[in-house]
Amino acid sequence: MESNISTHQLLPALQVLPRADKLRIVLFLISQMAQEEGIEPSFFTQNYLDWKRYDASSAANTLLKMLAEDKHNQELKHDSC
Amino acid sequence: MIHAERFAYRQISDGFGGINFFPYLPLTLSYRNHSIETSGLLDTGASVNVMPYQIGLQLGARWEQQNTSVQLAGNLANLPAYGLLITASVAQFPPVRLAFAWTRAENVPLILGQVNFFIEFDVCFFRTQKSFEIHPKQDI
Repeated sequence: MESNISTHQLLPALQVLPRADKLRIVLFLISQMAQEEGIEPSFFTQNYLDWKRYDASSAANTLLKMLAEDKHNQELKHDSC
Repeated sequence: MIHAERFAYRQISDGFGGINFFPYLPLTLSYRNHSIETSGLLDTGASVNVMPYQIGLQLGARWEQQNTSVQLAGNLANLPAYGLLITASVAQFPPVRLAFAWTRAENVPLILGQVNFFIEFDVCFFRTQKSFEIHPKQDI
């Protein structure tokens, strides 16, 4: 594919980008290259991009049940003393 | 009356030549006869507390003896996790029971999330001052 912008033009433009944008570009390039190699891109990028997503409502419910049982057991133990 | 305790944000290199600041809370975790001093990332966006594999081992927990499986989200969803009840002490406050999702993952920090850290403690963030305040919940 023919490019309208040369590497000489691109690099100075990249250098002045904010760090977060630089990181996005790195991840974009990794994703592109992985696709070209037939590798699932998320194999490389998901650890960085997704580790902060913890919307785990079923886990939250399970932990709340454990805490309720623990509290109940503590009260039973206290009552029997 | 228990007053709030103030802590400083921790300075961490981001690996790209920059410095970031994160609210890590020093605390002592106890499980049966083991105690360790560590610190947890206060993460209001996390549904649950998350404990990395190594911390659980340091506390003497046995992975193969756990039987309450929990399903995490994001990339942690691909790894098994179990519920683990821990006693946690923060500053001079009375100890509390915290429930953690003990994940097989090792590349995550100890995370203090909505269930149940933020049920037990109120936290005020002062990001511009790079500090936060914490105090136990108050029964109304």
